[in-house]
Amino acid sequence: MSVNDADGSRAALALGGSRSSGLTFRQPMIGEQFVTVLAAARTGAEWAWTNLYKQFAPAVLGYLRAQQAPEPEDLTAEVFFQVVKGLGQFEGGEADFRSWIFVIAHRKLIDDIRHRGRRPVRPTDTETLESLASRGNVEDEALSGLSEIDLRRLLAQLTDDQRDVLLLRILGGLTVPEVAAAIGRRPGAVHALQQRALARLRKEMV
Amino acid sequence: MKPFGKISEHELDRLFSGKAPAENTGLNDIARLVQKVQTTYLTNIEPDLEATHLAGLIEMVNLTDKGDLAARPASKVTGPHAQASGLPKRRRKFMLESLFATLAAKLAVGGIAIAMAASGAAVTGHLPDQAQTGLSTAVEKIGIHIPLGDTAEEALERAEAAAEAAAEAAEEALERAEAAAEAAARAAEELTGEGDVDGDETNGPNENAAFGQSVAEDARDGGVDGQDISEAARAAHRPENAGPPADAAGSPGQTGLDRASQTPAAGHIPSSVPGGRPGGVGGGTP
Repeated sequence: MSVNDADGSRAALALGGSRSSGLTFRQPMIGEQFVTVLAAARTGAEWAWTNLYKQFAPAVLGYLRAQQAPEPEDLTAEVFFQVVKGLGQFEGGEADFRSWIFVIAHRKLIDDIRHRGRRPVRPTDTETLESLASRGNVEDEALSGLSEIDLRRLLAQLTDDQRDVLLLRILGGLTVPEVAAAIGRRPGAVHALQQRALARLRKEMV
Repeated sequence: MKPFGKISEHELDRLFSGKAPAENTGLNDIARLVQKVQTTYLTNIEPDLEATHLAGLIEMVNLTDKGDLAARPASKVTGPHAQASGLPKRRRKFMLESLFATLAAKLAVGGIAIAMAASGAAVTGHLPDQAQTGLSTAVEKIGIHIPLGDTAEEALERAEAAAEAAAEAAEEALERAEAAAEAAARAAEELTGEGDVDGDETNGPNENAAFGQSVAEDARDGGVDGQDISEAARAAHRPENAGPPADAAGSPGQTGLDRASQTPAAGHIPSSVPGGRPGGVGGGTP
């Protein structure tokens, strides 16, 4: 990654952590340059904000989609607007930044759910099923033995808290204490929730 | 399949980070599930959506940079602010309910309400008479004025009414006295008029003309000092020198000529007037 701070121009940032089966979420995605990027973002540098968005937006959008948020794209935009507003008060490294973004995303999701009246556990309609079937990756499905439709049905078997914990762990890459902070539960409760969620999924997969 | 309950946190961290499970852990099914979740939902954002999001994001960054400055130099970052959201509303409601649940609190609220009502009534003067007077007297000592009780005010009103009645009576008496004085004056004029008639009959018009002329000459010669006459008249009407009351002026047997003869100008009564001074005005100056 190269960052040109002198003229404030957009840096050519080689983004790591691309989508792959070997994606490691706890591995820093920006790395040592995160401090520089964050400092530039605080001064309003466009290139820094672009980099932050490219690094974290896919995971945020994926989390919101997995939670079946009605408008996950709009919520993702709102999450980053909130990041812009609150960046002046943020302190910490890249892992803290990731955790902070997912705390915002989770709270935006809860607000949206409350605003709409209920948790969006909706039966999958025919149109959605066709869309999912057309988007399906045969190779992935062959490897996992699961289609996206199966995945949706599996996740729908979990309670809200179990689904929150599991998706924040898998898609957000948060640790148990970070998930506990995000959902307002104790770490022990989070640990129990994820164990019960996995047990339920294994039972459904058999 | 590994029995549930024996997955360590370390193994879970490994699985959730997308790594393959260790050998002989029996967690392949979980690993496949995690991989499926990640490959399904962790996709690149569509270019159009990304461009839209970035445009909005940059616009907001520029706005905040020029406005309320959400983005600021790292050297001035103070860290997260303390949460100021307070207790949840449910808890606050509970606290309020418990506050008013005790008997002492209810009594206190009732006492405060009574005190406030009494204060309001006292200020507007609507307490019972004795209470209002007592309270007014008490607070007057500390410099606060509130109306007296109805008893005192009634007494004051009665005194004022009596004073008004007395003033009206005095005014009526004065009017009567003035009327009597006017009547007396008219009687005197009538008497004087009779004298003129008599004079007309005895002295004739030529003598009256002579009287007017003599008065005019007297005035020119200074024979009659009007100022002296005025002062003498004022002296005569001072209280100690005042004559009989107005009523007395109209007493039987006294005429206007009698009263005129008591004035300092008595010496100037023309001789044509019956009972006047023999020398009269025309008789020369004093």
